[in-house]
Amino acid sequence: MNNQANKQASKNTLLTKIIFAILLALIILTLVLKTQQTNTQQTVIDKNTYIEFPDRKPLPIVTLAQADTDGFSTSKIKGKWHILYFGYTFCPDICPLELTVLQQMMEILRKDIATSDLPQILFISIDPERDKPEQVKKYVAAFDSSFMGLTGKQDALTALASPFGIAWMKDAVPSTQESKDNNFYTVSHSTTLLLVNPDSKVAGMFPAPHSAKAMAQAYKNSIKKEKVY
Amino acid sequence: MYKSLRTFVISFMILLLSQIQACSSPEKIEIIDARVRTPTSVTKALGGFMIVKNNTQNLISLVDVKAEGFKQVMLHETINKDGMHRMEHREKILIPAKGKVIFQHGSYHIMFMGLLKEFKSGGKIPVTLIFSDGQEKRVQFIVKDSV
Repeated sequence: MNNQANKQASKNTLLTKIIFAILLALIILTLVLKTQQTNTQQTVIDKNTYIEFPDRKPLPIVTLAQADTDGFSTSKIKGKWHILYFGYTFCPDICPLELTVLQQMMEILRKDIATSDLPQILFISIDPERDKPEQVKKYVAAFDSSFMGLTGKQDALTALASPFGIAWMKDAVPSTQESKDNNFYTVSHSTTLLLVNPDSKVAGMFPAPHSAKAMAQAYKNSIKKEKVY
Repeated sequence: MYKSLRTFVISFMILLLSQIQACSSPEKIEIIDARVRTPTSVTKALGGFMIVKNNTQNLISLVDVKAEGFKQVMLHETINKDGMHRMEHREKILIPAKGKVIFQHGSYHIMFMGLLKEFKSGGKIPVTLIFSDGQEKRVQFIVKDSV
């Protein structure tokens, strides 16, 4: 009788141990899977946010138009990081959105990194026919007072942007009388942002769609990596 | 006496409930969160965003839009093809039966062109939306700093 009770007790202990081991294994498995999932998500965000250029072409030197100056040579784009965006002020949808995202990214970076490491945002109008330098300056300042607004002749703009796959095309003026009278055309354009390093080399690009948080993180990673070189 | 009073009260309640339901039944077309971004001092064009909800059993199209204070107003759609963003004029935008269409960045928007007056943050822009079934809906677009 006593022997039987001992056997039963031993059986129960074994069962408890097995259950405990299974539970422990399940907890470990869940934790491992969760960590793997988090890592995968991070990789996906980085891949879609920033693409590094392995060849690091130098930024072409052209002269652009800037308000209150005789011209802006792109040779001045050095000594700090720059982000270049090609858009136009008549754009009602994408350009205001992009400038807002860039402003939000700057807000994050201002909290996280040294002022000397902050990028200079350059908004370059690809619609010089309507966008005068003074107008571009005022337009970008409404989003962030640190943003610089530039424009230029079409050949200079093309020489600057096309080596990096950035293109635009003036759309036909809609056939309505009001559109014709007011020259209300739109411009189809790329929304890729270029990242230029302090040596005036194009380090990479941020393809659309853009998220302020993801871009800020990718930017921080990028400048950290550059410092290691 | 009590029975007829009870019948009367119940009938009255049913009638009242049916009336409440009739009052709260949604409009044929509902416009939600109509808004534009506060323009800068040099802004020449604005994008209008909203949600258009069709509560009917029939497909309805938004066929035109009118607003004062602009040289021209049109229905537009932004198309992203191979990384190039292009805007196209739309003659009509279909709103499915019992469905909705979201006017948002990178998609449908109302294109307000040639601002004829100042639009300040918090202000309202009266806009008339014209649908294929003939109804005209007057909507106030809110001018917001962030859209």
